[in-house]
Amino acid sequence: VVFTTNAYVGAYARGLAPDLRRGVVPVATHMIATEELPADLARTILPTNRGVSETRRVISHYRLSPDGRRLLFGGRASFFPLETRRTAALLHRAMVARFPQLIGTRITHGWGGRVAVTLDRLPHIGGGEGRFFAVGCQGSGVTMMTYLGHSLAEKILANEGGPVNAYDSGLPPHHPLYDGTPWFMPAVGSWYQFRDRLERREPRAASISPLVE
Amino acid sequence: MADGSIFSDDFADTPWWWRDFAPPADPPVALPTHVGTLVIGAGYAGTACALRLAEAGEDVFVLDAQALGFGASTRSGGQVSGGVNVGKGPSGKPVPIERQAALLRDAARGFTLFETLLERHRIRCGYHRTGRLNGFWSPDHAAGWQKRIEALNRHAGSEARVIDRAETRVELGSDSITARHSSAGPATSSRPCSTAASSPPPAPRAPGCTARRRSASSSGYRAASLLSPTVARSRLTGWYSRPTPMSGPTPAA
Repeated sequence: VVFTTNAYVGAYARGLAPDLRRGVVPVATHMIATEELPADLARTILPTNRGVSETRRVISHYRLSPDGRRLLFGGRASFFPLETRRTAALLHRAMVARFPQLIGTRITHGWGGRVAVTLDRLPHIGGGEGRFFAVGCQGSGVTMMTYLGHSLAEKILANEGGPVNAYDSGLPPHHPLYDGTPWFMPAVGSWYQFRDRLERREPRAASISPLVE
Repeated sequence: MADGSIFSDDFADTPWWWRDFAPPADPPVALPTHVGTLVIGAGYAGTACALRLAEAGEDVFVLDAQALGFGASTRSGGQVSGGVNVGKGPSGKPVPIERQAALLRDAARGFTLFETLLERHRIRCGYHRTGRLNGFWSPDHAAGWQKRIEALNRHAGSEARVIDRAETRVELGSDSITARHSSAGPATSSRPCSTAASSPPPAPRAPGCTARRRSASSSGYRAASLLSPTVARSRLTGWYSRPTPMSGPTPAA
């Protein structure tokens, strides 16, 4: 049996793989897509069409859609469970803070999902004796989880104990106070938001208004 | 936005990617009573694992509580990377130095595998290499990245560099950017404050295990996801429909 449930471990069957669940903190993350933008407006946002990720603790990331017509903007909008339109509104505000030219732009899609964070911030694969897992891509998993799933198959096929790659280090670390229910995330998330603001030495309001120095 | 609403009239609370690829509603087959390997979770990890096992002739079955790719795999931002995000995190605790090289190297291998799978299975998810900007939120973050870039470039072949404010403005059209100097590479860039980095424009394939074939950093391309046309320009077709023996990158050291 191979567990590749990542942040959804225990989401549907709480008792499943408790040892895995205790090493994974599921964190809600959200995205919005704007309506189609006029071409000249889209170009003002990301003229070279890069993908962008910020180094804040409470991350924001954005990019143009493949057709270059929309901005797809994402981030950890809220550490409290909120209805989709609420999280979408928070992201819209963050987007406009970065790109004031989008203040009149509407959102056509808003959605969310879960990313899996481990206490050592690293992905893990491991297992043996008929039970294997891959977990913990920290929100960067399109390539990593593809690779780890592939590696896990190699591990199963090799049928021996040695690590197959640098991430083959067994279960992610546990914490005595964590049983798989992230009751502390609202507090931790708020703390991270606070630290982010502190480091920019800006008042709270600055995070929702155009950022100018 | 005449009515002041930030939502369009047809606002949907489903991923934008689902316009082109929605997780299939029904399981394709009846549940077997016996399988060689049971994979629980039909996202990237589970499907990639199952694909490799099936190619090796194993009897494998993938289960998911929801539809194929219903979870984070079709809900992502559609950016892919090959090392820049390894060990990232608010804790600031660096990756153990003795593991750093191997972790970065294998992340880059993952990126190569990803591109190999896209090509081999002709997954038309609109993937293209664009390079990436990492926005440094604070001077401290910029300083930290300055130190990380060398290892990232050496082990993951990211071709990252720090860019200055003027270059940041070329890359990122936001008056709010206040980059004092920027950085570069793997992805970097940013936003409000301090520095930004970007990957270089398309370049010849770099040596080593990394992922860059024509452009910038292995860490920095936008891509589409496999299940979701994340960065995708066209529809996803033929998902795992043509398993062929894989001779590509092997994860084993």
